[in-house]
Amino acid sequence: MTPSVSGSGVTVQTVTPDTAIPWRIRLKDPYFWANWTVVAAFIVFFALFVALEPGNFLTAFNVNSILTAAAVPAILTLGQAFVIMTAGIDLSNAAVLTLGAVSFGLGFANGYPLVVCMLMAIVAGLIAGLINGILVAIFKIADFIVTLGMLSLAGGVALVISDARPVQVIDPFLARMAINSIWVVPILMIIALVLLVIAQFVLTQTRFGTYVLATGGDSGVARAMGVNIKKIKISVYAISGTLAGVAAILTVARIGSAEPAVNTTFLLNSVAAVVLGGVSLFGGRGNMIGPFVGAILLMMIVNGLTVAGVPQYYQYIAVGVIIFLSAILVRNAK
Amino acid sequence: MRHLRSRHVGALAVLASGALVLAACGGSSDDNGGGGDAKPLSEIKVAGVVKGLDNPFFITIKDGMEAAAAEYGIQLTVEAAPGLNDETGQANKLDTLAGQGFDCFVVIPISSNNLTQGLGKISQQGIPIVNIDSPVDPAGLEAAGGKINAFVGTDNTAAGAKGGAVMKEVLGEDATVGLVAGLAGNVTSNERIDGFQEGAAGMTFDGPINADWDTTKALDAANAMLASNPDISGFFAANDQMAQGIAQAVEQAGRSDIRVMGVDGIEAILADIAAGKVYGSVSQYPYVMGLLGVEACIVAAQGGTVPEFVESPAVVITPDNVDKAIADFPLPPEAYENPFATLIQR
Repeated sequence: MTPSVSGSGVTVQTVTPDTAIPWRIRLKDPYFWANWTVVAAFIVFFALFVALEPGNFLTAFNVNSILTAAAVPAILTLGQAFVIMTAGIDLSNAAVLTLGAVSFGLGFANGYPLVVCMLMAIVAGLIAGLINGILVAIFKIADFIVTLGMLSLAGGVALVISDARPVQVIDPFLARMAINSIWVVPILMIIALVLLVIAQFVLTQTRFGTYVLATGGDSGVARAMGVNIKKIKISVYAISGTLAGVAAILTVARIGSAEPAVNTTFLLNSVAAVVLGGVSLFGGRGNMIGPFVGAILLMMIVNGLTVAGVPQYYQYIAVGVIIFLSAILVRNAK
Repeated sequence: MRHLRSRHVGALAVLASGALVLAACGGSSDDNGGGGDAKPLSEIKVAGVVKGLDNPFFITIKDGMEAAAAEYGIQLTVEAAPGLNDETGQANKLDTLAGQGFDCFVVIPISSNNLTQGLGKISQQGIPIVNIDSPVDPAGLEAAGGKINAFVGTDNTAAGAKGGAVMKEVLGEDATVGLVAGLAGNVTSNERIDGFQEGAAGMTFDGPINADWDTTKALDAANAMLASNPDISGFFAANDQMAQGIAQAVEQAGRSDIRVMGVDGIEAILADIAAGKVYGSVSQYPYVMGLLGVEACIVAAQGGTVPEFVESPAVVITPDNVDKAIADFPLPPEAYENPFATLIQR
């Protein structure tokens, strides 16, 4: 059952079980293509890199590297997707990740048990997200401004807490989590996949999910239908912040220390992945699988270009061009 | 296959990827099987992972590495972090290269920890690693099961101290020096600043203010420091790009009495020293570091033993020796020790 709320006006498409929609009509639905273009793009680029570097790209080791690299961006992308579906944006997720990492480091340096450190990271993310949500929903400040401010605020608080010095985190459990894999899939990616399943379930199978899409699609209509817009908006920013806190734990495990520097590549990639995944920046439609695949796609492109020996400068150009092309493909599907 | 539902398309996509992943299990990465008699130079493949290539210091390191590769006829691949601060990006690059069948790695980690896991994986394959410029934290590396064969670099603290001693000599103990640091929390920056303060002990210090290795941010920082403390008679920046920004701020403020010093010894700063805009820079000869790094890797790839710590030259360049420094660039104006050249078997 795929709920779809039209973003353009009063008409609300009835929720129809898939069995009732003939294949031909489904193909004509532009929304269908927007969601699955990213999967097509993924397969195209995968095939391209395999053709370019047959011996080196498609190895267990390399696939594992791609999935390891994609785990944290994918988690951030899930949070960003929730926010963008309400026609908002979260520019602070990378900084909130740093705040979460530094909170973890604070706990670790004080000798707290691992679980407490993890909770500190998640709570830090949750609080930042709630602040974002409250400012956007209740004080009605533009999401761009609020999350931009939080980007700076969270980054600054992280520096203050850590005194700008990294905290080394050596822990056998975290090390195992970061290094081990089941078959070719790293544990980090398995965690991300579990979160994907939960996110997709929440989006498509719960009333909350429908309300999220409704809020983005047409908040006036949604409010008239009885949706508590304020609560929904606060919730999605809280979700984004909390997921950033979870991503912080994974980053600390991977890097082996709680670093106080904000990595803005995470932010840019999360937005790019959401858009590539077919979620409209104007809100109202999309699913979680598209953005997740988009996040992996972006990491795969960097990996593929590195394996193919493309010099660093050209990699920047290539990633930019690929994002343009993919965005045009997704755009044309509208 | 009529009436394919969207959820079936999704399942198909997952199956397709799954099949591709299954195929991946069949393939295996090239095994370079080291050891044995000295590997012929033409067959040796070395990978370098440096910090961002948007900084001339690391570009010069790359140049030194390529010079060594050309001289000995080995294959060299150099990858950089996507940006000077992108620790995860750099770790991703290393992970990617780790499975590509290289004989040896030369690495400059952005932080002392971010490459540790990738290095652990590399060590477990029995591939040697040479660490240059920025040291990898030993405790973290050991926990990840990694091993560094050699470190080539300058002690950043000692480099800062050399700069501090020169500044103290020039300005005297009663002067105030403004300190401008790099990225907040960065080990290299912290060591250089701390070292400078040791070498210039007894002087008064303002700051340090972080300017993220950025020329413009350093310019703004210097302006702010001058505005709040006009007594400043000297500035020390943790790298040359920031020193250039400070020099501009000092020039615009009309304070030609202020002495500006940096660290790195990039070509542009040598010109500035000759022109009198900057007083000095502690040059760490990135070219030599890259050169020695690759040479150490060649020795290790051929199965030889390398000395664990090699100090690459660090010379304070001031107006006294800048002409020779420019003439000899990228090599230092004085001779330096190279323990690797004799160990390489042609």
